Amino acid sequence: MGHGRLTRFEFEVIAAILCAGEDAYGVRIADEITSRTGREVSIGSLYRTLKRLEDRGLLSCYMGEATAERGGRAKTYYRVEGPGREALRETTRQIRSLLDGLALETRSG
Amino acid sequence: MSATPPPWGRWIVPVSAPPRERGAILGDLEEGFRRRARDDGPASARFWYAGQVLRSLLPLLQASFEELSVRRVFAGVLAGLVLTSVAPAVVDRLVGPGSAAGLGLFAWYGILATATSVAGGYAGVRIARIRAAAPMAFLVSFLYAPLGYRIAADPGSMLPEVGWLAWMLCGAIGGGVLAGRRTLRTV
Repeated sequence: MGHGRLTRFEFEVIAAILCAGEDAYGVRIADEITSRTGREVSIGSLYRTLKRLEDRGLLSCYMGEATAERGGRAKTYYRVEGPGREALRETTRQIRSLLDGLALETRSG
Repeated sequence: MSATPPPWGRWIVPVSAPPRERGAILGDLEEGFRRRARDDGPASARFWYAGQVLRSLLPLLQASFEELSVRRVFAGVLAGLVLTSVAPAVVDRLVGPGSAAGLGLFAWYGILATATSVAGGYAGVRIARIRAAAPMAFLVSFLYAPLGYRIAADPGSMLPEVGWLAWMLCGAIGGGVLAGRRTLRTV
């Protein structure tokens, strides 16, 4: 608690970073989201969200290596911090709770 | 022959993205482009790159605006006001108000106004280190240029006051609001 709710995209980004593990940088995170949700992500939206989550203390980042494939530009790797995991857990719990409620409604209806 | 991303895309991203993220974003786009060029061909890669840049423009500008800080906004506004008002006043003193020195009026209200507008915007850019202010400064100057011409044609009209005020406001808002570095949080 105390870190606010996650929007759907923030939720997806944090989950994707956890899925990508040590290799969580922009392209890889976008690929994870696309492969798991079927939605293509714009790099601009992704970085805006990453920055916002970092500002809220849910993520941290560090510079990686520059490669020729990236035109000599370095990667920025992201890591989910404790509050980020907590926010993910909390949001997951809320979603489950919501779905449980919907399931009950469906059965009784 | 190796495929290259559209050059305009490489210009738009640095202009719109927050300073710290620019390198990583350009690198990601380059990596994605090369991967698609290899897998699907250059045309498909260029299409993807263009789509990414266009779709990223608004969120990147929003991210840049979220970095604004009150102190830097104030500094930007001040710099814009000084450049756009003090510089013309100095020239006015040197040339003399209403001087019939050749193309004085046109140069005064047109070219000079445009130049100081650009300079004011540029000062905002330098202070803010947000390059998104650059196109804004040029836009403001181009909007003002025709107005300056009309003022030159009819210096006795009310246009100078209205135009000057509008321009100063545009310069102050355009250059100043963009002149931020840290966040004025909206969330």
